[in-house]
This record gives sequence, structure tokens and C-alpha cells, in this order.
Amino acid sequence: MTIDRQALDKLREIVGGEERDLIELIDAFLGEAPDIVAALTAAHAASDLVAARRAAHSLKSNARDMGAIELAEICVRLEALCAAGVLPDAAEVEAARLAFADAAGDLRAAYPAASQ
Amino acid sequence: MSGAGSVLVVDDSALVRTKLRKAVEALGYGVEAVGSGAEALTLLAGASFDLVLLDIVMPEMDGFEVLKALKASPRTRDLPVIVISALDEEMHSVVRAIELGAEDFLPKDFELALLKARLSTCIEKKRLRDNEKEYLRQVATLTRAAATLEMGKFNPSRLGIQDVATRADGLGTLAKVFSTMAQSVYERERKLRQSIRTFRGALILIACGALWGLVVPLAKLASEVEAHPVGLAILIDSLGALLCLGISLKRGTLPKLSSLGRGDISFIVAFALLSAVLNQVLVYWMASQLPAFIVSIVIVLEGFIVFLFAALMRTEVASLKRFAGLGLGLAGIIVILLFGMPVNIAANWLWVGLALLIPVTYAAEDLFIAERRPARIDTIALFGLVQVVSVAMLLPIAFVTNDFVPFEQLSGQTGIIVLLMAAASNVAMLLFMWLIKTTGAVFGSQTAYAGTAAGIGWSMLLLGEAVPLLTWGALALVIVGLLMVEPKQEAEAEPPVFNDADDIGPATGANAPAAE
Repeated sequence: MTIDRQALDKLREIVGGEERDLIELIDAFLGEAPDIVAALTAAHAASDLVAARRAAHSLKSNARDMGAIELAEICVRLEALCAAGVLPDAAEVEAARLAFADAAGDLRAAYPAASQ
Repeated sequence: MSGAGSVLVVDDSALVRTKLRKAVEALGYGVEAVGSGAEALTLLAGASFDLVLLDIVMPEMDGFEVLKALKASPRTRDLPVIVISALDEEMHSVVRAIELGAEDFLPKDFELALLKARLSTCIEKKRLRDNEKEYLRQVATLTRAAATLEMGKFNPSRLGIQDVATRADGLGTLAKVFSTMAQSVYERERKLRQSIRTFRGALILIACGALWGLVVPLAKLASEVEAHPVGLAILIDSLGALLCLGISLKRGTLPKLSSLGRGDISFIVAFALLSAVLNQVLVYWMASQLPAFIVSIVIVLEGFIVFLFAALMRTEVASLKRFAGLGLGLAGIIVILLFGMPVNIAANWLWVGLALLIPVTYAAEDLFIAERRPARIDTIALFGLVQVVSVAMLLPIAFVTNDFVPFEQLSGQTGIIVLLMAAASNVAMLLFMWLIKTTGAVFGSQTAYAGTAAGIGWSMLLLGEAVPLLTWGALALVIVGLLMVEPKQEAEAEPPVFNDADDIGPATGANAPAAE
């Protein structure tokens, strides 16, 4: 399991305690995160550090909300490298993509009601 | 929008946007959420919010640019903004945002209690600031009103402090004091102006009546040898036309004939028919047949007829007092007609009946001027044109009835009388027009009373006619009636009546200032 359940519990509490609201948020994450991962990959391929940093930053906070700890940690490293002006290894970007795929799979398994 | 306050969420991430929207909503606030800085600025230009939750890192337009735009516009300058940031590695961004005018910051992974505290503090502060701004605005309004009062302008509705006066605090009390004070001074001034107008009107009225009263005995004098009412009217109107048009030409107030509209022309023609052909000829003819003082007395009925018409057409306020005044005047006339005539007049009742047509034509003239007078044409020029048309109408009548005044008569006393009549009736008519314009048809119609009194006086003086004692007593009634019909009120905006009974005590829930 790659998901921190406590993070999801906190998220549910913040939006009012309703399970359906949490599911709506998971939906939103599963809907937009693949685009951010794609943007990160494309920016890395184009050596665009500014765009890569912004994508890593966005993916990092989304991952934290969803309790995707591993994905969040990879994103922190990616963001820091970009901020320092260093193009990250392609392997690191690939690791982010895999971490997201794992997290998404776990979320879908735990919340079958989420449509994405 | 929610009564607790409304919040705008600006974040490019759908997840964060949804999270913040739901969290803010769950705390009881109204909320809208947009995905870019440009959308936020568009929305804020139209709608009003109490708080903005703003993401810093966004593509295209970032949070710093949005902040700068908000602080640059007077409309949104005071709108509190809380920036959202991932605290760990973004401290310098938060510092920069606060330097740019952000109220506070919120970490991305905030605790619910923190969001709640930040929202309520920020919105409460904005409320206080809004109240303070409103208070200062009202202080400025009151200061302006004080300056207006200082300049001697007391119309309470022009002070613009009604909304300040609804406040339940000291400022509201001050505004109420201002308003009440202005109201009472304004009332006093209005009464004073009204008195001055009445007094000035009365003076003109007496002058006008004295001149008009002269016309009847003079007409009687002119017809002592031979009566030529149409010829007399032609002579007098010709002189009047020369006088009025001469003055107008010199003053450059004569309108171009081509500029006269249909309304102007129909007024001139109708007025000429009414005043010259009907009224003038009738007066001169009656004067040749009856004692001049009787004709003068009959004219007084004009006031009653005018007031009756005006009251029926609702162009003037018909109060009981004004009706009583006119009734009293009428009673005086009836007493004179029934008991105050010389003994030999009984055979002339038919003439008295015909003479009663005179006040009807006067009344029609009076109302016609009050309601239809073309305001853009100068009074003297207008009256000159009317007399030209009068002469044109009278000439064919004089030809048919062979009623010209013979030339040899004009060389002697009759010539002087005609000149005097022309001067008296023209000046009287101009005064009359001015009187109607400034005081209204009903007050103007009282010229008839003054004309009657003067007519009697002139008749005694010029013709040696004896007026019975009873007639004098009856005339006293007429004068009282004259005083009871006041001129119409000036068309001046009534100030709003200020309710002194309003609660001016400490703030109550019902009328606390703008806290809803």
C-alpha cells in the first residue's frame, strides 16, 4: 500500500467529513495528475526547468493531499533540482511516473466509486 | 452570497481548488473558485468578495501578478488576500506576497482549525475596515453639508445627509440636528419669500387695477359726443401696437414672423379675438350706455369666474379659504347691484345683463394667458403682435357698421382721451401679464377688484358720478375677499419632512449602522 490513510482522513475532515466529498477529491486527483505527469515528462524532455519545476511543485502538493508519500518525496527532489538549475535524471522522472501509477492503482482499489 | 461572507478561491490545480471550495463551504461561507489569475481579475471587476484565497505558483499569471493588479485598483485595494503556499521551501515567496500587500498566508496542507481562524479574522477585519470607511465617508458628507449650510443654502433635501441621519450613533444625531435645523430655517425663509411675493404682487395689482379702472370712465368720456366702440378700439389698439412693436424693435426682441409656430399664431389670433373684438368693444359700448361705476363694479365678477374655471380644471389649489374669499367678494357685488344703484337705473337691467358678459371675457383672457402664453416670445412683442391682429379684425367690422371715430373729434379733448386710454390699457396689460406669470391666474384675476375700486374712484373724480353710501360698505367686503385669495405657491421643491420622533438613543439591533 503506497497510500497514507491518515492523510486521506485529514482531507475528509477538512472538506466537511463526508465520504462522497473525499471521493470527489480523489476523482479530481485521478483526473488532473496524469496531465501534470505528462507536462513534467515533456518539460524534462525539452530541458525546460521552469515548466518542470512548476509541474513537480503541483504534483507534490496533490500527492501530499492524497497521502501518496513516495510520489511526494520524488517530487520534492525534482523541484529542488530544477530550482537549483540542474536538469534531473530521466530515471527520476520515470520514477515519478511509476509512483503515480502505483498510487492511482491503490486509490482506485480502495475507492472503487472513484470513476477515473 | 452567504451572509457570513464570501470567498474567492484562485488555484490552477483542480484538486486544491475543489478542496478549498469544499472546506470554505463547510465553514459556512459563500465561495466561488477559479483556475487562473485572469479569471479571478475578471470576476473581481464585477462581483464583490470579502476575501481571496490565492495560490502563488500558477502558469501564465502567477499569484504575485494577481496581487499587484488587485492592489493597483481602488475597487479591490482593500480586499484582503491570503496566499496559499507549500510552507517548507517557499518562505521567501510568502514574505514577498506579504510585502506586496497580502494579509496572511495559509500552508497547502493546512489544519482545519487554522483555515477557520484565518477566514474569520480576515473577514471580521474587513468588516471593521468597511464600517470605518463608511463612517469616514459619512463624516465627509456631513462636513460638506455643514459647508453648504454655512453658505446659506438650507434646502434639507439638497444637503444629502438623510442616510447619515439614519445612523443610531452620535454622527447620526449630529446629522439629525443639522437636518432639523436646516428644515426650520428653510421653512422660515420660504414663508418670508412668499410674503415678499404677496406684497410685491399686491403693489403691482393695485397699479394695474388703477390703470385699468381709468379705461372705463375714459371710454365714457370719449363717447359723450358720439359712441363709436369699434372705432375707439381700432385707435387704441393701433397706438398700442405702435408702442409695443416700437419698444420691441428697439430692444431687438421682436420674433421673426417665419419663426412663429402654429401654436404661437393661434394664440395671437385667439387672444386678439378675445381681448380686442369681444372684451374691448363690449367695455367701450357698455361704458357709453351705463354709469361708469356700474361697469367697473361688474368687472369684479371676473375673479370668481377665473377661480371657478381654475378649480374645475385643477390648475390651482381650491381651498375652502380661497372659495370663501371669492364668495365674500361676490356677495359685496350683489349688494351693490341690488341696492347701490342710482334711482333711475331700473330701466337698464338689460344693459347690466349684457355687461355681465364683460367679466366672462376678462376671465377667459386671464386663463388663456396663464395656460397658453408662448413663453419664448417676449411679453411686449407678443402684445404688440396681438394688437396688430386686433386692428386687422376690427377694421372690416368698422367698415360694415360705419363705426370709425370722426377725424374732427380727434383734434380736441377726445384725441387726448384716446391717447390716455391707449397708454393706460397697454401699461395695465403688460403689468397684468407679468402678474399672471409670477403669481398665477387666480391672484392675477384680483386685478378686477382693484380695477373696480379704481373705476369707481375715477368715475367720481372725472365724471362726477355719485356713489351711494351702501356701495362703500359692500366694497369693504370685496377687499376682505381679495385678501383671502392668496397667490399660488412658488413651484419650489418641498423639503422632505424630517421625523423628529425618530429614535436618537444608543444603537439598537433594529437600526444599527450598515452591519448587515
